[in-house]
Amino acid sequence: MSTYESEHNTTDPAIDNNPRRRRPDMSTFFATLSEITPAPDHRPHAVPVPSDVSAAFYSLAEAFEVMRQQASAAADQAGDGTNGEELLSQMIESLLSQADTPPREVEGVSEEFCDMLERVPKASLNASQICPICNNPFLEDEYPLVVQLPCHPTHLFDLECVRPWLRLRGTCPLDRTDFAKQLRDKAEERKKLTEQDDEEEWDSMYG
Amino acid sequence: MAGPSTNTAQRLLRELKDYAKSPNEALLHLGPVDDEDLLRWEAVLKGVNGTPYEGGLWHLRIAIPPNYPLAPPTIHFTTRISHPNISFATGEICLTLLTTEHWSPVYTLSSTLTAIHQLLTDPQPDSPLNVDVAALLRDGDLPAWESVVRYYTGEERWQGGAPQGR
Repeated sequence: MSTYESEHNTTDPAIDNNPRRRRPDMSTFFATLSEITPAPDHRPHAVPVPSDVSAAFYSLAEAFEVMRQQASAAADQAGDGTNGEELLSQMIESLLSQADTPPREVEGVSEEFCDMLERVPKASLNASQICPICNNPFLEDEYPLVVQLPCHPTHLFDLECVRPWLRLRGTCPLDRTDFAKQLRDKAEERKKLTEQDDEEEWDSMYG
Repeated sequence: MAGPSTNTAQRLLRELKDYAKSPNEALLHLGPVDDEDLLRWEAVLKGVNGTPYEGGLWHLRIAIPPNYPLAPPTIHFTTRISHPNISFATGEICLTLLTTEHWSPVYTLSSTLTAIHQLLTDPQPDSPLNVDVAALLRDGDLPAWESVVRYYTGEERWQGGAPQGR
């Protein structure tokens, strides 16, 4: 007699052929990830700390390691060797090597800095001016989005070209003026000034 | 390895076009090794007249990172060269602008190779990759330095065709 399952070409969902594997615990990883993700709403000046970046890489590598062990156990049972184990090994290796060499400091500037760069109107551009990064004339684009860096009035770039560089290094590609450092120094100074202000206030109150 | 992004490919094609339009005096050849892979280029560098490198030709291998020009290309001599800042064994080049900290996206492959060409006339024996020839320069033994360089410039001169091995 044929069963319901064979007539309907299906399997009994009650019989679980493929028992769900234990999932690696990712909570540590997501917790460290939220630590290093700038959250502009409540921590506007926070930057990722290298040790946090390292920790995130380590915990992700650990999670992959758990997955690899389970994959290899499953592969032994099933009799086929591969099961993405090699890929996982590679991913673990590359994560660990990145965790060992975290960024030394945050070198780039913020997205806001790029947004606030002086825009150069199309009317003031001429056909001979090119973007030093892509080497294409600005006017080749019908709607050029050209910015002028604060270091020199002739340092013009396509915003699209210079933005990734500024976010990465924070320097002018032509004269290496370090905007990221300027911003850090300014923030430092502001902090010092507020501290001084606080002290003066304290003096006047009690002096 | 991941392929180049659109920006990287566009920039490399632009460089290729610009080099065809205005070739570099220092180079005999610059271009991708084959049409399939835009991230692997090769170049042939000419010696500098009036120096012991006069008359030389060297083949260089250029590996371009997928995020170029945000990161510098990796350039090696595949023809052996006797120079204080170039490894005789591996062809590695000690040049600050090839490091991640000193690279700038306004450099092109052509201008980077010009810098390598200038390194031939302006060796820096204080940060050597070839200690033996650097020692000759540092000790001021110019005749010995010149004859060693001249010998290898002639002996190892690139003969055309595919590079040998490395």
